Amino acid sequence: MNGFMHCQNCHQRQATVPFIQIVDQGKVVTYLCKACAEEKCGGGHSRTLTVETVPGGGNQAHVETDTVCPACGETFAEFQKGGLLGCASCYQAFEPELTRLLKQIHGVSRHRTDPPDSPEAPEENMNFFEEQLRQAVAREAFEEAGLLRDRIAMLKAQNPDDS
Amino acid sequence: MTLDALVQQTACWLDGSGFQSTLVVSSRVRLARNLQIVPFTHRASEDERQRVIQAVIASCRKGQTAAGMTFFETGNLPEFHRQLLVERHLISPALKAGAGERGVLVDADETLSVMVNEEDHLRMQVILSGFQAHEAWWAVRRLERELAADLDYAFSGKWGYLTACPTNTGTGLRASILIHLPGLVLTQEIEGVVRGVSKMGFTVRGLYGEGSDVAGNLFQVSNQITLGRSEGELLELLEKAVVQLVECEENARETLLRDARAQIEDKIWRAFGILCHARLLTSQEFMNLSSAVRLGIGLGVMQDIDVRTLNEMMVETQPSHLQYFAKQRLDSQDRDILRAETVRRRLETLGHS
Repeated sequence: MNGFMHCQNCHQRQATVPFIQIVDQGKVVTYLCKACAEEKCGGGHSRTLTVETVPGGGNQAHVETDTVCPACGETFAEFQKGGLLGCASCYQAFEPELTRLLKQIHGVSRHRTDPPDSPEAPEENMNFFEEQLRQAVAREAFEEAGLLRDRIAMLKAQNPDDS
Repeated sequence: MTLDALVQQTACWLDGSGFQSTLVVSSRVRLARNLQIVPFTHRASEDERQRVIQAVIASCRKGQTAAGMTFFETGNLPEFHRQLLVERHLISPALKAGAGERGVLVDADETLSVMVNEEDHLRMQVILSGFQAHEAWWAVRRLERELAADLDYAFSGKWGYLTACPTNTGTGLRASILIHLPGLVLTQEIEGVVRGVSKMGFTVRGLYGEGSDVAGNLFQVSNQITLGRSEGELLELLEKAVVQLVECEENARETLLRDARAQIEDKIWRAFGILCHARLLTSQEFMNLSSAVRLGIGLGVMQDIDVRTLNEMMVETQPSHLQYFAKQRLDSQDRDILRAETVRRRLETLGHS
């Protein structure tokens, strides 16, 4: 993946918005920075998908703006259509939208992982299940405890050396 | 290992071993990972995809767990061979259908596999017989850590492992079990039980899925969310869901035996009789009859046939496997004839028909 693309209007800032103009029913795409795109749209707030009329725009019918991933070029509209992100950097490029979406899907939007000292298999299998058994008995979850006892007995039968 | 050798062997996860294996056919855990510096598969060029394959294979060769794995370049295999891999649960229908540079690494007993350039660059999977979800997780984690020595996974502190589809973001972990629930289906309690398990955050396929999914009272239960819960927590939740399913199924079986023992035993033995003597068997009929026989084994009604034989037949009687062994293309009716013959031969060796 290459570095970022420069805005095709100011040639200075990073291009993050594909600026789509419909001219005589043909589509012309230029990649702009947020500031230039907003200026072209008549100023304002258009980081997300908008369709706006260009004031006094001659034969330009309307303009759409969209967020684009500077690393792979995928637009947010493409993601919405196909359901797949284009690369790891899309997560940063679409961060506000994705934060909402991830929360919708998973209920939260923050990663959790096991502590680094979580049990290593398989030599710790027995300890793991025995601990689970102690917890199940303490909770009086007898069905679960019964299953765990059977499971430990089976593991012991398979690996007599471990017991 | 060649594809021929693969198709002629029995995958380890079909051997009917493992905890609760009359109810739980298999436990599977898969991890989705991507390489940080390459666009995700659908946006990667053929060149980039080829580089991903090479990097993954090179990394596997160095590790202890994955050193002996064989790579099948599915992009270059004929459709028929790709379908064999789907029927053996080694590749997904999505990997089979896609074009371009892609493939799968498989270990000698088909326990471990790594799909390369599916929706994500890597989909590592461990599949074990019976209820061994934790064991499968530990095994896939070992593989994942080995490969991490060489591969730079796309990861963010906030969102965990970054995947092409946001439904896998976070742990990238999908743990699933294939469970046989004929008692709950016969007592018509299945819908309520499935609703309960769904509320715990699991997806149950098979009840409302497409036609092929509902066969044989086999249900696939897997975690819905991948973000916000740690891997261990997801596994523990699955364990709880399975304990609940096992308890409900055993209660249903007790009820059936108490209220209708003769009818249930009759159903089991009739199913076995048809499997031993039928001359035409559709895939759906085979799955339904073998479900009754599987129930018979679980209830102790049938002693001479084991879960392993049923599991093996479940794969051998799939359309592409039948055609592979027949060494020719067969239409649907010819497959039904051959399926019936295959099953008859297997059961003859048990000394019943």
